Amino acid sequence: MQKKADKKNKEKPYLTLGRFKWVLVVLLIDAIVLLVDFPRGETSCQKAIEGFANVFKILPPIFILLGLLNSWVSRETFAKYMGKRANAWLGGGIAFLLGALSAGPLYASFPVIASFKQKGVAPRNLYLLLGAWATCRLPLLLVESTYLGVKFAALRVGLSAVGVVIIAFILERVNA
Amino acid sequence: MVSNETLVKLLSSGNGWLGLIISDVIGAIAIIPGVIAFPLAGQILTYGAGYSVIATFISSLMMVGVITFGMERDVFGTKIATWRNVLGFILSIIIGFTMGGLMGS
Repeated sequence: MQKKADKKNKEKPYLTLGRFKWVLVVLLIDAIVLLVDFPRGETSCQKAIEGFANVFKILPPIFILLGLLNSWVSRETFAKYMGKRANAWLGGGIAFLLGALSAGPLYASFPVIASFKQKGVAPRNLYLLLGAWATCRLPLLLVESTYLGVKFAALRVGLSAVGVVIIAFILERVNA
Repeated sequence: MVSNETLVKLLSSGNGWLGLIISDVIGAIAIIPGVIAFPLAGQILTYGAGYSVIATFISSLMMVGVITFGMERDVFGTKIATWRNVLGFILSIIIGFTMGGLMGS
């Protein structure tokens, strides 16, 4: 245990400048565009700020919910229902359903996945959760039906669900 | 800056292989929230794009994340994240084809 802690301490600090290299690249590009073509640069900066604002609107609630989940649901419970030794149908079903009930973007799922991973959830269930989160957004089904038709929405979600399961199985093989 | 009009024009460029691949690539790179993506897709539909193109675009938009790859790599590792995105890219085309057949366009 002590060794593990030592190893962790030796790892690079999480918040290095390198982590923000893309932010810096965006700022640099925006600065150049501003100098070359001011109106275009202005629009670009606005969009960049909008993008950052969107991320900051979405991630804090996710972290709060994760915190609550962490304190309410024990590691044992996670391992029992969604772990490697859990019933594959039950664990997979829970993972898929949790993912499908979300309406957030793909990147909002990453902290959830990281937390579930720490809780001992089997990799296959993580892949199912992510896939369902990405493609089968049930809360958005109404929006999709409104603009593209009920038939389209139902078929697309159905096909995606099949695809997500297939991808989860392939990823499990790759991971092994 | 890529405007919505440019996006619509690019996505309405055809229902063949090229159209599908273009929409797949755009979907993989773009980050558009679901609530905006569906109206946009509806708009593209009225501009004459086929259901196959729209299904491909939406699928890769949701499943493939080139921009968010760095975040994904932190969670899954490079190997799995790469595989997942590549498989998502392929699946998007397959879904597009199938949807085109099922919706009759």
